[in-house]
Amino acid sequence: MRKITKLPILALILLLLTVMMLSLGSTEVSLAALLRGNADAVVETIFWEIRLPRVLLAIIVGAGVSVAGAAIQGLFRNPLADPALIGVSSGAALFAAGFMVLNLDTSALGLLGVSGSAFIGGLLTSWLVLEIGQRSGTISSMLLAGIALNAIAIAGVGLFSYLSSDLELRSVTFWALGSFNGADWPSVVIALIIPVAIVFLARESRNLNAITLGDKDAFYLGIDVTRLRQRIIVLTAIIVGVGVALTGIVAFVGLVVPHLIRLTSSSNHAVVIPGSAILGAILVLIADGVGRTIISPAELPIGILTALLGGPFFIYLIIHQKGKLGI
Amino acid sequence: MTLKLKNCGYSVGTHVLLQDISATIANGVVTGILGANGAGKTSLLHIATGAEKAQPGSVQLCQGDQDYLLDSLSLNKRASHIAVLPQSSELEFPFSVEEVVLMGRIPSASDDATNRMIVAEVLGLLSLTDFSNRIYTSLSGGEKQRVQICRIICQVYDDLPNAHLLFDEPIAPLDIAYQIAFFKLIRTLASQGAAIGLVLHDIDLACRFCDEIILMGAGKIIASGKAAEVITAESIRAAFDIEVSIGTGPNGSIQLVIAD
Repeated sequence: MRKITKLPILALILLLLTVMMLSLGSTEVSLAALLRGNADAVVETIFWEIRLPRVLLAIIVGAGVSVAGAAIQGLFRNPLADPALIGVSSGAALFAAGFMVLNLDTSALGLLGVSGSAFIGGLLTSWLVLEIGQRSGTISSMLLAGIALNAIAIAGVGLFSYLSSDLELRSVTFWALGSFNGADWPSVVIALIIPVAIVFLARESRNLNAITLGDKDAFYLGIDVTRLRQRIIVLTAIIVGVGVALTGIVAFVGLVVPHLIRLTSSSNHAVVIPGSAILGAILVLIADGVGRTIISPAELPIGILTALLGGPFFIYLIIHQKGKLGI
Repeated sequence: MTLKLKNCGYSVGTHVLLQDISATIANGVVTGILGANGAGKTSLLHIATGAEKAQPGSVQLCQGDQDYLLDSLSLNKRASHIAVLPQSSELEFPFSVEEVVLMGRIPSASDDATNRMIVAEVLGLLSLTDFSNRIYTSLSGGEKQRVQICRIICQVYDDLPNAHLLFDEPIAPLDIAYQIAFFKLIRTLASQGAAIGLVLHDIDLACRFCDEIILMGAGKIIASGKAAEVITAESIRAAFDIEVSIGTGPNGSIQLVIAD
């Protein structure tokens, strides 16, 4: 109980940060002036058409990738599993890029198509990783399979970008390093499926707790493990697929954030999932805020910042958890 | 409530793991399952709990004169009557001890306060009361095992007369004092009506604390019944291919004397 009380504090920080990030940027937006209705017309347009959708998208995607990370770590019973590390994100990127090569419609409907194919790509990769892992029976081979699939998918994305001279196909940089630069209202509307998937994942908290004990243990606790696995994989593929289609791969957030919650609060998924959602939103908001102001008016891709923070943390985990991870 | 296996077999591909197994894990009784490595003890637990399907044969839960096929019961219903401790745990996440044991209450419909009360009581049974806020992954092997044993007991603690508790090599990581504490605890649970099945390697301890022994070899039951009837020089030779003579301890219990 005492541990759940940290969540409202995190939520408050997120709220304050949101207000801050709405005004921060290469153009300063005065929220007070906006509220009074006497803001400059250009500033008003920047706020409604660029700043607000961007901040909303950062919150949604940040929350999404963190919750997807928490769920995948629980399902794979491995604190090092992460959609971006085991190839789910790049599988999604590959399919999104593939859709763009075949269909260059960039209207809202086109965006839906890109998101849909990214979802299928993410789903396919998760399924392959799990299938290969179960066939060989060890967690390390599952992670290694994920790393191999990741490399293949990244190569595929590179190939698509290289072959396609069309400007509509976003660059490799976009897919590999992520960006909230293209945020607009259609993207925000499509992204709204992410909070829905988060809610469904939160409802699986008890089952996710049980599956960390082992598949057999979860079965003995009355859980249909095969069905549970299917639900978790579909829900995380929705989050990762849509997230990647809209903003590219935001690496390491899904790995780091659930750990921070476990380290500071609890491993209980009833705490880890909401906690990861809020903390993930906070971290991605900050990273995006830094990315778009530090070399303003140019932008630093968000993935550079998240990797610079997440990479060392990942190494720390490997050293710290040596011998306990089955690798 | 009693778990009955009738003429059960189990194969993986062409490899026959179990053949013609008929056995009973009865309420109020502690049943020890003994046998060499690979004799089929764990497979027997798997089919008895429905984790693997017996083919041919059937597994039934019997309550009074009512018989239910295990397969016909929902997973949740099974979980509220059958709790199982597998041979090893895969838990690598830093849950607190209380959180781990609380997971045993997942199949139950009781409220959080009741569940926490049951957890607190069961932790006390294996001297873990002071451990409830400790982090599971930081514990020693034996301590982890006691926590897992508590989780299994918690799963069915509020309905012991209708409970089956099955443990796969539960005492291997425990020191001698906790091995004895474990046996005393399960004897108490059996006296409250629970049906208990234990896969064991220590024949002396099995003879001392189990009411019934099932001795297995090569996927079949070599002998079953009271310890004194089952454990003979001949049956031990058949099961383990070793020469022993059967002695008697000061308190009258059976002790194996290994031949030179």
